[in-house]
Amino acid sequence: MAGLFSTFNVATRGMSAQQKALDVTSHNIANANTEGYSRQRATMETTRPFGMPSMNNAIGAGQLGTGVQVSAITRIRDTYLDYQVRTENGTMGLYQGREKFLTEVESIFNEVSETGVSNMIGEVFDSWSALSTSPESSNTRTVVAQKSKALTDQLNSTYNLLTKLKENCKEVIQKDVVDINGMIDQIDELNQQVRAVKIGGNEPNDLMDKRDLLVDELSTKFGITIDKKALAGEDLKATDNVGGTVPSKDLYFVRSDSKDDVSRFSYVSEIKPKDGQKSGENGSYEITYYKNGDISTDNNKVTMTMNLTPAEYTSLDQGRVLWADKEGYAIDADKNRIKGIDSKGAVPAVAGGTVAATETDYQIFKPKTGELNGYMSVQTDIDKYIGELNNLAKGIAFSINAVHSGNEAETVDEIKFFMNSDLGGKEEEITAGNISVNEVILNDVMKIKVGKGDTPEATDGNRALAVSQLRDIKLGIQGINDTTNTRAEFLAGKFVIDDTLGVGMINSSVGGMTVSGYFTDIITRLADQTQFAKKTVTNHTTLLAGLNESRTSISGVSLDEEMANMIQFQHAYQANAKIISTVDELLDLIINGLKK
Amino acid sequence: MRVTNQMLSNNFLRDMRTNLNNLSTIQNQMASGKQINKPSDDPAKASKIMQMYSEIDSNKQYNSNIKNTANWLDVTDTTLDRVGKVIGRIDELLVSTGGSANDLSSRKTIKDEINQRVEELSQLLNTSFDGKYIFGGTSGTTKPAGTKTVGENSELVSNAKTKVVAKLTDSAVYGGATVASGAIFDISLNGGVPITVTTSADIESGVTTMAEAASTLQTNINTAIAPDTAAVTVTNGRFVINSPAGTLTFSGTSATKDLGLRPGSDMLLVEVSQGVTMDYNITASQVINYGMGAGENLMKLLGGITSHLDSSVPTEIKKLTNEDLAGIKEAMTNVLKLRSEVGAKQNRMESAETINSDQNMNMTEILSATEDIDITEKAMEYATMQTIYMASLQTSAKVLQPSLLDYL
Repeated sequence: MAGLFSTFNVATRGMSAQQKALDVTSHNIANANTEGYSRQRATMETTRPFGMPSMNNAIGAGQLGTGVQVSAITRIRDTYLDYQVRTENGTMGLYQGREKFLTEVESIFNEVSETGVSNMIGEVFDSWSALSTSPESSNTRTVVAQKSKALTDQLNSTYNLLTKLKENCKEVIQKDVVDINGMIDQIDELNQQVRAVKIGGNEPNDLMDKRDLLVDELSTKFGITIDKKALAGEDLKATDNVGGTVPSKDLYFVRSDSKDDVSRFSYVSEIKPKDGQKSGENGSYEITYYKNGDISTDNNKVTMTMNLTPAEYTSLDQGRVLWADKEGYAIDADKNRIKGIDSKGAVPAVAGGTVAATETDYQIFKPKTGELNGYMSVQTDIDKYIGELNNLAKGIAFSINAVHSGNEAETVDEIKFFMNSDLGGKEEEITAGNISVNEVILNDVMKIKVGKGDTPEATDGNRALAVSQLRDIKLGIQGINDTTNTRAEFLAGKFVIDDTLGVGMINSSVGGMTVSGYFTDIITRLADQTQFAKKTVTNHTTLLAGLNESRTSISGVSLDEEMANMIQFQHAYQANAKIISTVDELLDLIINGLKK
Repeated sequence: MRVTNQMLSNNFLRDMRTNLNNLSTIQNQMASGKQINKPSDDPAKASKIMQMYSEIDSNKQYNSNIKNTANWLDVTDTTLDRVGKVIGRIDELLVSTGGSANDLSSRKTIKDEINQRVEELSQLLNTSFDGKYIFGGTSGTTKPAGTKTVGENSELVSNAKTKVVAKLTDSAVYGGATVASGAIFDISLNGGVPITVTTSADIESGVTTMAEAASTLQTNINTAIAPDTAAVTVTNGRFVINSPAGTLTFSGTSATKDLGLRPGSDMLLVEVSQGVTMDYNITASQVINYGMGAGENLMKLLGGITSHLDSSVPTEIKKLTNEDLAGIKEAMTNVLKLRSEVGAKQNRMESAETINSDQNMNMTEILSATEDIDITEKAMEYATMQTIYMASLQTSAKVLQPSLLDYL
């Protein structure tokens, strides 16, 4: 039978276990509002019981317990919910990224309003109609010139704002690359710490929480996949990896073993044509990227020279994010560094890789979900809007110039109404960015051709009437750049002398669109896309809120619960203390009370 | 399910955000009076609204075109009415010469008045509206008529010139059908005896330059009508036959068609609705030429009358009450005919305006139905939203407050 001193020990263990549990409770309460924190529980279990029957031990009634111990402090968390949240975060990030830029595109177009392009197109045609009724007046001519100028100015500014927005998009991608690399570094560090603590036999609850929080954050940027390794280590890679069907070729960002054999991202800051070709055409390009996306110092700059096809150019221009090794040098799918020149000369070789990888073997990171995909895909859309705006400008310029000059094909000495304002710009290269009203016409509005022939009668307004009727003519605007480049191609077979008006007029194309119809179409599609992005964000906010609620339901700290636990532990602590004082009384009785 | 304090406050925050969002949407709609503020609010509605705006806008332009033209026609009508009165007065005067045929002094008085009337007629033909001579046709900035003094008489002069358009513009080399040398076509001035024109050289597609083609035609037309008139001039494929004024018709072989010869239109056109144009002017030559014959115009008629009044030859004086009176009657009929034409056009304009304003009304109604909010409906929605918002605030404020701590 155990002595009274053994009871002392049981009570002491009891007190210290309750105290530890109180510690955990207070940690929980302290972190009640910490983001990513999962509540912890002290798991108590009985200590190893004492007293196997032996020589010194009389056989008694059963084994005597020796008290309690805290065997582990565990965090309460459902990893399947983590997986779900991270998958949904990817979609959420994608559409949040798109929504952010599409709403900006929407406000750039500034429709439905009385100051937008749509209204200005109407005003231009109205002014031609008014001119047709009073061709002799310089006032109506000035109105035509100024309304047209207002339209071209608006087109120019819309074009410039859209181009700038695309640049912003790239800047955001660059910042994301820096963020992502930073987050990956932190995750890597935490990963190593977690392993160290685990090896020491402890439960790294708070470190794991931190790591999970970072992974959550990273999952909004792009889709990630986590492989659980020994000792709570994690290997992290992108869901859409370079390996594709060969997972063994996948590149990892974080590895629990061989932690230096990992990848990062670098950011392409500039794609410069080298042979005097236009951006996007076939030819040689000088590509500059910053290692790890860090543009703070030029020491990080690496340049590569290579030939690109238009498709490769577009994909690189919109993608911008290159797979790189840990030091930030761009790599190919086999982790070989790609040839280039950095601040110290040629890109150095590293063990396990050769420098000599061909330049065009660079790997663009193309995630299918996440903010990065949002920013990359929205650029395709912005490019498309710019392209359509260019078509609109070209369609307006081609059709009005043709009727105004009476020539189906561009000729040298005609007075063009709309010009390409670029130095030496050609009519077929008119874009929304360079369309302008001919200076000659702006300076002398009497040069506007209003009537039939080259020297029309003073009040003959038939040509102006023909221009105003272009409003309702269906033009093949949507085919510009695909099949038709020049005015002659645009109008082939459509330009005939109108018998009533006596001037050349354009016939409607089957399946064509009116100028304002085409513009309305652009806006409608933009509206649809924006609405879809907004709706998806709203839906995913609800979905994620649900998931987070489930998560909080499991891992969140309930203050009431902690209070109840606290009282419970407090009472247990007090009871243990009472045992000690009782044993003390017993000992007092034995020591001081038995022999008087 | 386990419920934690954070869940409660998160839920409250999320719901409050949704409620505020809804309230802000309604506030926006109420304040602007519009259903949508951005196209993405409702893409289908947005495109409908844009289309409506564009159509209403062009309709407004048609409306101002119609109003302008209606005013123009009113002025034309009034002027023609006065032209009719002037001719009527001349008619009266001619009739009155019958009673004093041999009285030179009274004929002189009559002649003096007629000279004044001729001046008045020329003034009427030069009536301008909105900066243009209404009878000027496409040359609305030059006076269509004038007077010249012959002896002591005023004679009416027409500045209008007959124009012929050929397919001889817009490129360096002739591109129409080849017309061989010796081809024949007829030109008829004011329905008079047709004059045959024979081409003297080949006008060959792709070979003959425009300048050569124009000069060949000019020479040939000149040769044909030289006995009657001074000359034909050419600018930009338009042949101007300097006199007499009037209408031209072409007949004969396919040469007219191949060369694209047609009378140059003096018509002013206006667009009154989508794709619908109409002409609205009366030209001076329509007023002056009351018949199809080469001599059936006011210039010759009035010149004749004054010279007959001056004359002392009985046969000449007799003409006053015969040919001249008949001519004046015809001229009056012509003016009446033109006025009824103008009247018909005025009617057409009126109906065009009615249609225009009907359309405008309909489209505005559709636009309003698509774009504008229903105030009552929104007010109800607002009331509901507000109640929900209040309820959420009140409940949450009470639910979030208490905790076990209050009772420990």
